[in-house]
Amino acid sequence: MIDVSIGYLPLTDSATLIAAAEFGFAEKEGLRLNLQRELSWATLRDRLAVGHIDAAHFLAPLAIATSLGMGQLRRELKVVFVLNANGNALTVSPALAREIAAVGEGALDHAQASAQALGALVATRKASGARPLTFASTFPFSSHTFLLRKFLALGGVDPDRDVEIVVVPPPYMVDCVDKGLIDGFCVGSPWNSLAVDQGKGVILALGSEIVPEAVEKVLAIPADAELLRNGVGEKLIRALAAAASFVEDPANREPVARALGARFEVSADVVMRTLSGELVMDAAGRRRASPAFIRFAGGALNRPDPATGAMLCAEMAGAGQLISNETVERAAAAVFDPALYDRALT
Amino acid sequence: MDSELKALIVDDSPVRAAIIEEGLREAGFTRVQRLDTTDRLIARIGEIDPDIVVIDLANPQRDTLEQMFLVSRLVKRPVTMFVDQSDSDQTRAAIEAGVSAYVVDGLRRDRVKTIVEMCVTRFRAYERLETELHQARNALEERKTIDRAKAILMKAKGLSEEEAYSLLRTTAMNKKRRIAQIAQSVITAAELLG
Repeated sequence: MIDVSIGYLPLTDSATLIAAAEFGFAEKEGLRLNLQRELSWATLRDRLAVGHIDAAHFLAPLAIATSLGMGQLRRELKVVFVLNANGNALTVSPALAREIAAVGEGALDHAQASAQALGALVATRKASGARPLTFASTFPFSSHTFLLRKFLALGGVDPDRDVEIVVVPPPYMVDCVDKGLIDGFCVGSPWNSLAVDQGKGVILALGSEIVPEAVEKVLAIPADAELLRNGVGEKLIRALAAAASFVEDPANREPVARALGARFEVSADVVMRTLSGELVMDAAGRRRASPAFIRFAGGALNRPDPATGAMLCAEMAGAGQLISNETVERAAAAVFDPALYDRALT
Repeated sequence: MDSELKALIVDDSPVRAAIIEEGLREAGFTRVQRLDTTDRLIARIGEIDPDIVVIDLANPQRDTLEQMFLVSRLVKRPVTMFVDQSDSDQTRAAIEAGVSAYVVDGLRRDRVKTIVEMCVTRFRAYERLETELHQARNALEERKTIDRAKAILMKAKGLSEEEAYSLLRTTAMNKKRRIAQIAQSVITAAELLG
Protein backbone atom coordinates (compact mmCIF):
# COMPACT_ATOMS: atom_id res chain seq x y z
CA MET A 1 0.00 0.00 0.00
CA ILE A 2 1.25 3.45 -0.90
CA ASP A 3 0.41 6.22 1.56
CA VAL A 4 -1.04 9.48 0.23
CA SER A 5 -1.96 12.23 2.70
CA ILE A 6 -4.69 14.66 1.75
CA GLY A 7 -5.86 17.66 3.75
CA TYR A 8 -9.50 18.69 3.65
CA LEU A 9 -12.07 20.98 5.21
CA PRO A 10 -15.34 19.57 6.58
CA LEU A 11 -17.60 20.30 3.60
CA THR A 12 -20.01 18.16 1.60
CA ASP A 13 -17.80 18.65 -1.45
CA SER A 14 -15.01 16.64 0.16
CA ALA A 15 -17.32 13.62 -0.35
CA THR A 16 -15.32 12.12 -3.21
CA LEU A 17 -12.13 12.12 -1.10
CA ILE A 18 -13.91 10.57 1.86
CA ALA A 19 -15.62 7.97 -0.33
CA ALA A 20 -12.29 7.10 -1.99
CA ALA A 21 -10.77 6.50 1.45
CA GLU A 22 -13.69 4.71 3.09
CA PHE A 23 -15.44 2.73 0.35
CA GLY A 24 -12.45 0.85 -1.04
CA PHE A 25 -11.69 2.91 -4.17
CA ALA A 26 -8.21 3.93 -3.03
CA GLU A 27 -7.44 0.45 -1.74
CA LYS A 28 -8.34 -1.06 -5.10
CA GLU A 29 -5.59 1.09 -6.63
CA GLY A 30 -3.11 0.07 -3.93
CA LEU A 31 -3.34 3.38 -2.09
CA ARG A 32 -3.97 4.22 1.52
CA LEU A 33 -5.43 7.74 1.83
CA ASN A 34 -4.68 9.52 5.08
CA LEU A 35 -7.27 12.28 5.30
CA GLN A 36 -6.37 15.16 7.58
CA ARG A 37 -9.08 17.58 8.61
CA GLU A 38 -8.19 21.25 8.87
CA LEU A 39 -10.36 24.18 9.88
CA SER A 40 -9.12 26.93 7.63
CA TRP A 41 -7.93 27.42 4.07
CA ALA A 42 -4.76 29.27 5.09
CA THR A 43 -3.63 26.30 7.18
CA LEU A 44 -4.39 23.88 4.36
CA ARG A 45 -2.49 26.07 1.87
CA ASP A 46 0.58 26.31 4.11
CA ARG A 47 0.65 22.59 4.87
CA LEU A 48 0.45 21.84 1.15
CA ALA A 49 3.07 24.46 0.30
CA VAL A 50 5.69 23.01 2.63
CA GLY A 51 4.88 19.38 1.90
CA HIS A 52 3.17 18.35 5.15
CA ILE A 53 0.50 16.80 2.97
CA ASP A 54 0.69 15.42 -0.56
CA ALA A 55 -2.54 16.94 -1.85
CA ALA A 56 -5.35 19.17 -0.71
CA HIS A 57 -9.09 19.73 -1.12
CA PHE A 58 -8.82 23.27 -2.42
CA LEU A 59 -10.86 26.25 -3.52
CA ALA A 60 -10.36 26.49 -7.29
CA PRO A 61 -9.33 30.20 -7.25
CA LEU A 62 -7.00 29.59 -4.29
CA ALA A 63 -4.98 27.18 -6.45
CA ILE A 64 -4.41 30.05 -8.86
CA ALA A 65 -3.67 32.61 -6.14
CA THR A 66 -1.14 30.29 -4.46
CA SER A 67 0.56 29.55 -7.78
CA LEU A 68 0.81 33.24 -8.61
CA GLY A 69 2.00 34.15 -5.11
CA MET A 70 -0.94 36.41 -4.37
CA GLY A 71 -1.57 37.13 -0.75
CA GLN A 72 0.73 34.88 1.23
CA LEU A 73 2.78 31.73 0.83
CA ARG A 74 3.66 30.94 -2.78
CA ARG A 75 3.92 27.50 -4.31
CA GLU A 76 3.28 26.53 -7.88
CA LEU A 77 0.35 24.11 -7.85
CA LYS A 78 -1.47 21.89 -10.30
CA VAL A 79 -5.16 21.17 -10.23
CA VAL A 80 -5.30 17.49 -11.16
CA PHE A 81 -8.97 16.70 -10.50
CA VAL A 82 -12.16 18.74 -10.20
CA LEU A 83 -14.07 17.46 -7.18
CA ASN A 84 -17.44 19.11 -7.82
CA ALA A 85 -19.51 21.83 -9.39
CA ASN A 86 -21.74 24.11 -7.30
CA GLY A 87 -22.91 23.26 -3.78
CA ASN A 88 -22.99 26.74 -2.29
CA ALA A 89 -25.83 28.82 -0.95
CA LEU A 90 -26.45 32.28 0.43
CA THR A 91 -27.84 32.48 3.94
CA VAL A 92 -28.94 35.48 5.98
CA SER A 93 -29.89 35.93 9.62
CA PRO A 94 -33.59 35.37 10.39
CA ALA A 95 -33.84 39.09 11.24
CA LEU A 96 -32.51 40.17 7.84
CA ALA A 97 -34.74 37.59 6.12
CA ARG A 98 -37.78 39.21 7.80
CA GLU A 99 -36.68 42.64 6.60
CA ILE A 100 -36.22 41.31 3.06
CA ALA A 101 -39.61 39.59 3.13
CA ALA A 102 -41.20 42.84 4.23
CA VAL A 103 -39.90 44.67 1.15
CA GLY A 104 -42.58 43.13 -1.01
CA GLU A 105 -44.67 40.14 -1.98
CA GLY A 106 -42.64 37.19 -3.21
CA ALA A 107 -39.28 38.56 -2.07
CA LEU A 108 -38.23 35.12 -0.82
CA ASP A 109 -39.61 33.16 -3.78
CA HIS A 110 -36.50 32.96 -5.93
CA ALA A 111 -32.93 34.25 -6.02
CA GLN A 112 -33.57 37.15 -8.40
CA ALA A 113 -36.49 38.46 -6.33
CA SER A 114 -34.47 38.16 -3.12
CA ALA A 115 -31.48 39.96 -4.64
CA GLN A 116 -33.69 42.85 -5.74
CA ALA A 117 -35.44 43.06 -2.37
CA LEU A 118 -32.04 43.07 -0.66
CA GLY A 119 -30.95 45.85 -3.05
CA ALA A 120 -33.98 47.95 -2.09
CA LEU A 121 -33.25 47.33 1.57
CA VAL A 122 -29.59 48.32 1.25
CA ALA A 123 -30.64 51.55 -0.49
CA THR A 124 -33.12 52.38 2.28
CA ARG A 125 -30.56 51.66 4.96
CA LYS A 126 -28.00 53.84 3.20
CA ALA A 127 -30.46 56.74 2.92
CA SER A 128 -31.32 56.48 6.62
CA GLY A 129 -27.66 56.34 7.65
CA ALA A 130 -27.91 52.84 9.13
CA ARG A 131 -24.70 50.81 9.37
CA PRO A 132 -23.86 48.87 6.20
CA LEU A 133 -24.72 45.17 6.23
CA THR A 134 -21.83 42.72 6.65
CA PHE A 135 -21.59 39.53 4.60
CA ALA A 136 -19.02 36.79 4.94
CA SER A 137 -17.29 34.77 2.30
CA THR A 138 -15.08 31.78 3.11
CA PHE A 139 -11.85 33.13 1.67
CA PRO A 140 -10.85 36.04 -0.58
CA PHE A 141 -10.00 33.66 -3.45
CA SER A 142 -13.16 31.62 -3.53
CA SER A 143 -16.26 31.07 -5.62
CA HIS A 144 -18.14 32.29 -2.54
CA THR A 145 -16.64 35.74 -2.93
CA PHE A 146 -17.61 35.83 -6.61
CA LEU A 147 -21.09 34.42 -5.96
CA LEU A 148 -21.76 36.91 -3.20
CA ARG A 149 -20.64 39.79 -5.43
CA LYS A 150 -22.85 38.58 -8.30
CA PHE A 151 -25.86 38.18 -6.04
CA LEU A 152 -25.41 41.68 -4.60
CA ALA A 153 -24.94 43.12 -8.09
CA LEU A 154 -28.23 41.50 -9.22
CA GLY A 155 -29.96 43.80 -6.76
CA GLY A 156 -27.91 46.82 -7.78
CA VAL A 157 -25.71 46.69 -4.66
CA ASP A 158 -22.07 47.71 -5.10
CA PRO A 159 -20.17 45.00 -3.20
CA ASP A 160 -17.19 47.31 -2.62
CA ARG A 161 -19.06 50.34 -1.34
CA ASP A 162 -22.54 49.48 -0.10
CA VAL A 163 -21.73 46.53 2.18
CA GLU A 164 -18.80 45.09 4.13
CA ILE A 165 -17.42 41.75 2.99
CA VAL A 166 -15.37 39.79 5.52
CA VAL A 167 -13.99 36.27 5.65
CA VAL A 168 -15.02 33.54 8.07
CA PRO A 169 -13.98 29.86 7.73
CA PRO A 170 -16.95 27.54 6.98
CA PRO A 171 -17.24 25.85 10.38
CA TYR A 172 -17.57 29.26 12.10
CA MET A 173 -20.25 30.84 9.87
CA VAL A 174 -23.28 29.78 11.89
CA ASP A 175 -21.76 30.98 15.13
CA CYS A 176 -20.83 34.37 13.66
CA VAL A 177 -24.30 35.06 12.26
CA ASP A 178 -25.80 33.93 15.56
CA LYS A 179 -23.63 36.39 17.47
CA GLY A 180 -24.68 39.19 15.13
CA LEU A 181 -21.14 39.71 13.82
CA ILE A 182 -22.33 39.18 10.26
CA ASP A 183 -25.75 39.57 8.62
CA GLY A 184 -25.34 36.83 6.07
CA PHE A 185 -22.87 34.55 4.36
CA CYS A 186 -22.09 32.51 1.31
CA VAL A 187 -20.66 29.09 2.10
CA GLY A 188 -20.60 25.49 0.91
CA SER A 189 -22.70 22.63 2.30
CA PRO A 190 -23.69 21.61 4.85
CA TRP A 191 -23.16 24.88 6.73
CA ASN A 192 -26.16 26.71 5.24
CA SER A 193 -28.45 23.83 6.15
CA LEU A 194 -27.00 23.66 9.66
CA ALA A 195 -27.82 27.33 10.14
CA VAL A 196 -31.41 26.65 9.05
CA ASP A 197 -31.75 23.62 11.34
CA GLN A 198 -30.53 25.60 14.32
CA GLY A 199 -32.96 28.43 13.55
CA LYS A 200 -30.02 30.79 13.03
CA GLY A 201 -30.30 31.38 9.29
CA VAL A 202 -32.61 31.49 6.30
CA ILE A 203 -31.30 30.36 2.91
CA LEU A 204 -31.91 33.13 0.41
CA ALA A 205 -30.49 31.62 -2.76
CA LEU A 206 -28.81 28.49 -4.02
CA GLY A 207 -25.51 29.05 -5.79
CA SER A 208 -26.81 27.14 -8.81
CA GLU A 209 -29.60 29.72 -9.21
CA ILE A 210 -27.01 32.45 -9.71
CA VAL A 211 -24.33 30.56 -11.64
CA PRO A 212 -25.71 27.32 -13.15
CA GLU A 213 -22.40 25.49 -13.47
CA ALA A 214 -19.38 26.62 -11.50
CA VAL A 215 -16.22 24.63 -10.77
CA GLU A 216 -16.06 24.55 -6.98
CA LYS A 217 -13.45 22.43 -5.15
CA VAL A 218 -10.48 20.79 -6.77
CA LEU A 219 -7.63 18.52 -5.77
CA ALA A 220 -4.41 20.52 -5.78
CA ILE A 221 -0.86 19.20 -5.60
CA PRO A 222 2.51 20.98 -5.89
CA ALA A 223 3.59 21.27 -9.55
CA ASP A 224 6.91 19.55 -8.79
CA ALA A 225 5.39 16.70 -6.75
CA GLU A 226 6.75 13.17 -7.09
CA LEU A 227 3.15 12.03 -7.48
CA LEU A 228 3.08 13.50 -10.96
CA ARG A 229 5.98 11.37 -12.16
CA ASN A 230 6.12 8.13 -10.20
CA GLY A 231 2.83 6.61 -11.33
CA VAL A 232 1.07 7.17 -8.00
CA GLY A 233 -0.83 10.19 -9.36
CA GLU A 234 -2.55 8.03 -11.99
CA LYS A 235 -3.71 5.60 -9.31
CA LEU A 236 -5.05 8.47 -7.27
CA ILE A 237 -6.98 9.91 -10.23
CA ARG A 238 -8.52 6.52 -11.02
CA ALA A 239 -9.55 6.07 -7.38
CA LEU A 240 -11.10 9.54 -7.32
CA ALA A 241 -12.92 9.09 -10.63
CA ALA A 242 -14.51 5.88 -9.36
CA ALA A 243 -15.36 7.48 -6.02
CA ALA A 244 -16.89 10.53 -7.77
CA SER A 245 -19.26 8.35 -9.80
CA PHE A 246 -20.18 6.47 -6.63
CA VAL A 247 -21.00 9.72 -4.79
CA GLU A 248 -22.98 11.08 -7.74
CA ASP A 249 -25.22 7.99 -7.87
CA PRO A 250 -28.40 8.71 -5.85
CA ALA A 251 -28.46 5.08 -4.70
CA ASN A 252 -25.27 5.67 -2.66
CA ARG A 253 -26.29 8.92 -0.99
CA GLU A 254 -27.25 7.34 2.30
CA PRO A 255 -23.94 5.63 3.10
CA VAL A 256 -22.03 8.68 1.85
CA ALA A 257 -24.13 10.98 4.04
CA ARG A 258 -23.45 8.74 7.04
CA ALA A 259 -19.69 8.73 6.40
CA LEU A 260 -19.59 12.53 6.06
CA GLY A 261 -21.86 13.11 9.04
CA ALA A 262 -19.62 10.94 11.23
CA ARG A 263 -16.49 12.83 10.16
CA PHE A 264 -17.99 16.32 10.47
CA GLU A 265 -19.89 15.50 13.67
CA VAL A 266 -23.20 16.58 12.16
CA SER A 267 -26.34 14.56 11.48
CA ALA A 268 -26.40 12.40 8.36
CA ASP A 269 -29.85 13.85 7.53
CA VAL A 270 -28.53 17.35 6.98
CA VAL A 271 -25.72 16.05 4.75
CA MET A 272 -28.30 13.98 2.86
CA ARG A 273 -30.30 17.11 2.00
CA THR A 274 -27.23 18.79 0.56
CA LEU A 275 -26.27 15.71 -1.49
CA SER A 276 -29.76 15.41 -2.96
CA GLY A 277 -30.16 19.15 -3.57
CA GLU A 278 -33.49 19.21 -1.74
CA LEU A 279 -32.93 22.06 0.64
CA VAL A 280 -35.00 23.32 3.53
CA MET A 281 -34.81 27.11 3.35
CA ASP A 282 -36.07 28.24 6.75
CA ALA A 283 -37.40 27.14 10.13
CA ALA A 284 -40.94 27.06 8.68
CA GLY A 285 -39.82 24.23 6.38
CA ARG A 286 -40.06 26.04 3.03
CA ARG A 287 -38.28 23.88 0.44
CA ARG A 288 -36.36 24.45 -2.75
CA ALA A 289 -34.92 21.67 -4.87
CA SER A 290 -32.42 21.73 -7.68
CA PRO A 291 -30.69 18.76 -9.31
CA ALA A 292 -27.86 21.18 -10.16
CA PHE A 293 -27.37 22.16 -6.51
CA ILE A 294 -24.24 20.04 -6.20
CA ARG A 295 -22.68 17.68 -8.74
CA PHE A 296 -19.72 15.33 -8.32
CA ALA A 297 -19.37 13.61 -11.68
CA GLY A 298 -20.81 13.43 -15.16
CA GLY A 299 -19.57 14.54 -18.55
CA ALA A 300 -16.19 16.24 -18.32
CA LEU A 301 -16.87 17.66 -14.86
CA ASN A 302 -13.83 16.05 -13.16
CA ARG A 303 -11.31 16.85 -15.89
CA PRO A 304 -9.22 19.97 -15.21
CA ASP A 305 -9.72 22.41 -18.08
CA PRO A 306 -7.28 25.31 -18.70
CA ALA A 307 -10.32 27.35 -19.78
CA THR A 308 -11.58 27.16 -16.19
CA GLY A 309 -8.31 28.69 -15.00
CA ALA A 310 -8.61 31.54 -17.49
CA MET A 311 -12.25 32.11 -16.53
CA LEU A 312 -11.43 32.22 -12.80
CA CYS A 313 -8.60 34.62 -13.54
CA ALA A 314 -11.19 36.96 -15.09
CA GLU A 315 -13.41 36.56 -12.00
CA MET A 316 -10.49 37.44 -9.75
CA ALA A 317 -9.75 40.51 -11.86
CA GLY A 318 -13.44 41.47 -11.70
CA ALA A 319 -13.33 41.30 -7.91
CA GLY A 320 -10.27 43.58 -7.90
CA GLN A 321 -7.94 40.84 -6.68
CA LEU A 322 -5.52 40.99 -9.59
CA ILE A 323 -4.77 42.90 -12.73
CA SER A 324 -5.02 40.46 -15.56
CA ASN A 325 -2.93 40.43 -18.69
CA GLU A 326 -1.96 37.76 -21.16
CA THR A 327 0.90 36.38 -19.02
CA VAL A 328 -1.22 36.19 -15.88
CA GLU A 329 -4.07 34.55 -17.76
CA ARG A 330 -1.76 31.97 -19.29
CA ALA A 331 -0.28 31.16 -15.89
CA ALA A 332 -3.78 30.78 -14.40
CA ALA A 333 -4.87 28.52 -17.26
CA ALA A 334 -1.77 26.34 -16.80
CA VAL A 335 -2.73 25.59 -13.19
CA PHE A 336 -5.65 23.53 -14.52
CA ASP A 337 -3.61 20.77 -16.10
CA PRO A 338 -5.45 17.78 -17.61
CA ALA A 339 -2.24 15.83 -18.39
CA LEU A 340 -2.31 13.50 -15.37
CA TYR A 341 -6.07 13.01 -15.66
CA ASP A 342 -5.75 12.06 -19.31
CA ARG A 343 -2.86 9.67 -18.67
CA ALA A 344 -4.80 7.99 -15.87
CA LEU A 345 -8.09 7.52 -17.63
CA THR A 346 -7.26 6.79 -21.23
CA MET B 1 13.78 51.86 16.70
CA ASP B 2 12.28 48.60 17.85
CA SER B 3 10.83 50.22 20.92
CA GLU B 4 8.44 51.97 18.56
CA LEU B 5 7.34 48.70 17.00
CA LYS B 6 4.10 47.11 18.06
CA ALA B 7 3.61 43.37 18.25
CA LEU B 8 0.39 41.46 18.64
CA ILE B 9 0.00 37.84 19.72
CA VAL B 10 -3.25 36.08 18.86
CA ASP B 11 -3.46 32.83 20.78
CA ASP B 12 -6.10 30.90 22.67
CA SER B 13 -3.47 29.38 24.90
CA PRO B 14 -2.54 31.95 27.56
CA VAL B 15 0.58 29.98 28.50
CA ARG B 16 1.98 29.94 24.98
CA ALA B 17 1.03 33.58 24.49
CA ALA B 18 3.00 34.46 27.64
CA ILE B 19 6.02 32.50 26.41
CA ILE B 20 5.96 34.32 23.07
CA GLU B 21 5.38 37.68 24.71
CA GLU B 22 8.47 37.21 26.85
CA GLY B 23 10.46 36.35 23.75
CA LEU B 24 9.29 39.42 21.88
CA ARG B 25 10.15 41.62 24.85
CA GLU B 26 13.61 40.09 25.01
CA ALA B 27 13.91 40.79 21.28
CA GLY B 28 13.32 44.45 22.00
CA PHE B 29 9.61 44.87 21.50
CA THR B 30 8.25 46.90 24.35
CA ARG B 31 4.75 47.29 23.03
CA VAL B 32 3.35 43.77 22.99
CA GLN B 33 -0.35 42.99 23.23
CA ARG B 34 -2.13 39.69 23.52
CA LEU B 35 -5.56 38.77 22.22
CA ASP B 36 -7.31 35.47 22.41
CA THR B 37 -9.51 34.54 19.48
CA THR B 38 -12.11 37.13 20.24
CA ASP B 39 -15.00 37.99 18.02
CA ARG B 40 -13.85 41.55 17.58
CA LEU B 41 -10.43 40.61 16.24
CA ILE B 42 -10.71 42.73 13.11
CA ALA B 43 -11.76 45.88 14.91
CA ARG B 44 -9.11 45.37 17.59
CA ILE B 45 -6.33 44.91 15.06
CA GLY B 46 -7.42 48.11 13.37
CA GLU B 47 -7.03 49.91 16.69
CA ILE B 48 -3.73 48.33 17.65
CA ASP B 49 -2.21 48.68 14.16
CA PRO B 50 0.59 46.20 14.87
CA ASP B 51 3.83 45.81 12.92
CA ILE B 52 3.86 42.09 13.50
CA VAL B 53 1.12 39.60 14.32
CA VAL B 54 2.12 36.18 15.67
CA ILE B 55 -0.62 33.55 15.43
CA ASP B 56 -0.82 29.78 15.78
CA LEU B 57 -0.73 28.20 12.32
CA ALA B 58 -3.91 26.19 12.81
CA ASN B 59 -5.91 29.13 14.13
CA PRO B 60 -8.96 29.50 11.84
CA GLN B 61 -8.91 33.26 12.35
CA ARG B 62 -6.01 33.37 9.90
CA ASP B 63 -8.45 33.27 6.98
CA THR B 64 -10.17 36.32 8.39
CA LEU B 65 -6.83 38.05 8.93
CA GLU B 66 -5.60 37.39 5.41
CA GLN B 67 -8.72 38.87 3.85
CA MET B 68 -8.31 41.88 6.07
CA PHE B 69 -4.68 42.35 5.04
CA LEU B 70 -5.76 42.21 1.40
CA VAL B 71 -8.60 44.67 1.34
CA SER B 72 -9.49 46.20 4.64
CA ARG B 73 -9.42 49.91 5.05
CA LEU B 74 -8.41 49.29 8.64
CA VAL B 75 -4.95 48.15 7.63
CA LYS B 76 -2.93 51.03 6.33
CA ARG B 77 0.19 49.19 5.24
CA PRO B 78 0.78 46.13 3.08
CA VAL B 79 1.19 42.93 5.06
CA THR B 80 3.02 39.77 4.11
CA MET B 81 3.42 36.47 5.78
CA PHE B 82 6.57 36.52 7.87
CA VAL B 83 8.47 33.88 6.01
CA ASP B 84 11.17 34.92 3.69
CA GLN B 85 10.17 33.29 0.43
CA SER B 86 13.75 32.44 -0.42
CA ASP B 87 14.43 30.82 2.94
CA SER B 88 12.45 27.65 2.54
CA ASP B 89 14.16 25.87 5.46
CA GLN B 90 12.97 28.53 7.81
CA THR B 91 9.48 28.40 6.32
CA ARG B 92 9.35 24.65 6.80
CA ALA B 93 10.67 24.87 10.35
CA ALA B 94 8.10 27.52 11.23
CA ILE B 95 5.18 25.63 9.78
CA GLU B 96 6.29 22.41 11.39
CA ALA B 97 6.47 24.17 14.72
CA GLY B 98 2.96 25.55 14.09
CA VAL B 99 3.99 29.21 13.94
CA SER B 100 2.63 31.75 11.57
CA ALA B 101 3.10 35.47 11.68
CA TYR B 102 2.34 38.45 9.51
CA VAL B 103 4.55 41.49 9.23
CA VAL B 104 3.99 44.87 7.67
CA ASP B 105 6.21 45.96 4.87
CA GLY B 106 9.33 47.75 5.98
CA LEU B 107 10.26 45.60 8.94
CA ARG B 108 13.93 44.72 8.37
CA ARG B 109 14.56 41.24 6.97
CA ASP B 110 17.19 40.27 9.51
CA ARG B 111 14.88 41.40 12.30
CA VAL B 112 12.07 39.25 10.92
CA LYS B 113 14.42 36.28 10.72
CA THR B 114 15.46 36.62 14.35
CA ILE B 115 11.88 36.99 15.49
CA VAL B 116 10.75 33.96 13.54
CA GLU B 117 13.60 31.87 14.96
CA MET B 118 12.64 32.96 18.44
CA CYS B 119 8.98 32.05 17.81
CA VAL B 120 9.89 28.64 16.42
CA THR B 121 12.07 27.85 19.45
CA ARG B 122 9.39 28.94 21.85
CA PHE B 123 6.52 27.18 20.08
CA ARG B 124 8.60 24.00 20.26
CA ALA B 125 9.39 24.58 23.92
CA TYR B 126 5.70 24.99 24.59
CA GLU B 127 4.94 21.76 22.78
CA ARG B 128 7.57 19.93 24.82
CA LEU B 129 5.97 21.34 27.95
CA GLU B 130 2.59 20.04 26.81
CA THR B 131 4.04 16.62 26.03
CA GLU B 132 5.76 16.44 29.39
CA LEU B 133 2.56 17.41 31.17
CA HIS B 134 0.72 14.76 29.24
CA GLN B 135 3.36 12.17 30.13
CA ALA B 136 3.28 13.16 33.77
CA ARG B 137 -0.50 12.77 33.79
CA ASN B 138 -0.22 9.36 32.15
CA ALA B 139 2.44 8.26 34.61
CA LEU B 140 0.16 9.23 37.48
CA GLU B 141 -2.71 7.25 35.96
CA GLU B 142 -0.44 4.23 35.53
CA ARG B 143 0.70 4.46 39.15
CA LYS B 144 -2.92 4.32 40.27
CA THR B 145 -3.67 1.34 38.03
CA ILE B 146 -0.66 -0.58 39.37
CA ASP B 147 -1.63 0.20 42.96
CA ARG B 148 -5.16 -1.11 42.37
CA ALA B 149 -3.84 -4.29 40.73
CA LYS B 150 -1.44 -4.83 43.62
CA ALA B 151 -4.28 -4.51 46.12
CA ILE B 152 -6.34 -7.05 44.18
CA LEU B 153 -3.46 -9.54 44.05
CA MET B 154 -2.61 -9.05 47.74
CA LYS B 155 -6.18 -9.82 48.73
CA ALA B 156 -6.77 -12.68 46.29
CA LYS B 157 -3.49 -14.50 46.79
CA GLY B 158 -2.51 -13.40 50.27
CA LEU B 159 0.68 -11.70 49.04
CA SER B 160 2.68 -8.88 50.55
CA GLU B 161 2.80 -5.60 48.61
CA GLU B 162 6.31 -6.37 47.46
CA GLU B 163 5.37 -9.87 46.29
CA ALA B 164 2.36 -8.53 44.41
CA TYR B 165 4.48 -6.00 42.58
CA SER B 166 7.13 -8.60 41.81
CA LEU B 167 4.43 -10.89 40.36
CA LEU B 168 3.19 -8.07 38.09
CA ARG B 169 6.72 -7.32 36.99
CA THR B 170 7.72 -10.90 36.15
CA THR B 171 4.46 -11.45 34.28
CA ALA B 172 5.05 -8.27 32.30
CA MET B 173 8.57 -9.42 31.44
CA ASN B 174 7.44 -12.88 30.39
CA LYS B 175 4.60 -11.54 28.26
CA LYS B 176 6.73 -8.71 26.86
CA ARG B 177 4.14 -6.19 28.01
CA ARG B 178 4.30 -3.11 30.17
CA ILE B 179 3.54 -3.47 33.89
CA ALA B 180 0.65 -1.01 33.56
CA GLN B 181 -0.91 -3.17 30.83
CA ILE B 182 -0.70 -6.29 32.99
CA ALA B 183 -2.09 -4.32 35.92
CA GLN B 184 -5.03 -3.21 33.75
CA SER B 185 -5.67 -6.86 32.78
CA VAL B 186 -5.71 -7.84 36.47
CA ILE B 187 -8.26 -5.11 37.19
CA THR B 188 -10.42 -6.09 34.22
CA ALA B 189 -10.28 -9.77 35.21
CA ALA B 190 -11.18 -8.91 38.80
CA GLU B 191 -14.13 -6.86 37.58
CA LEU B 192 -15.33 -9.72 35.38
CA LEU B 193 -14.90 -12.36 38.08
CA GLY B 194 -15.90 -10.23 41.02
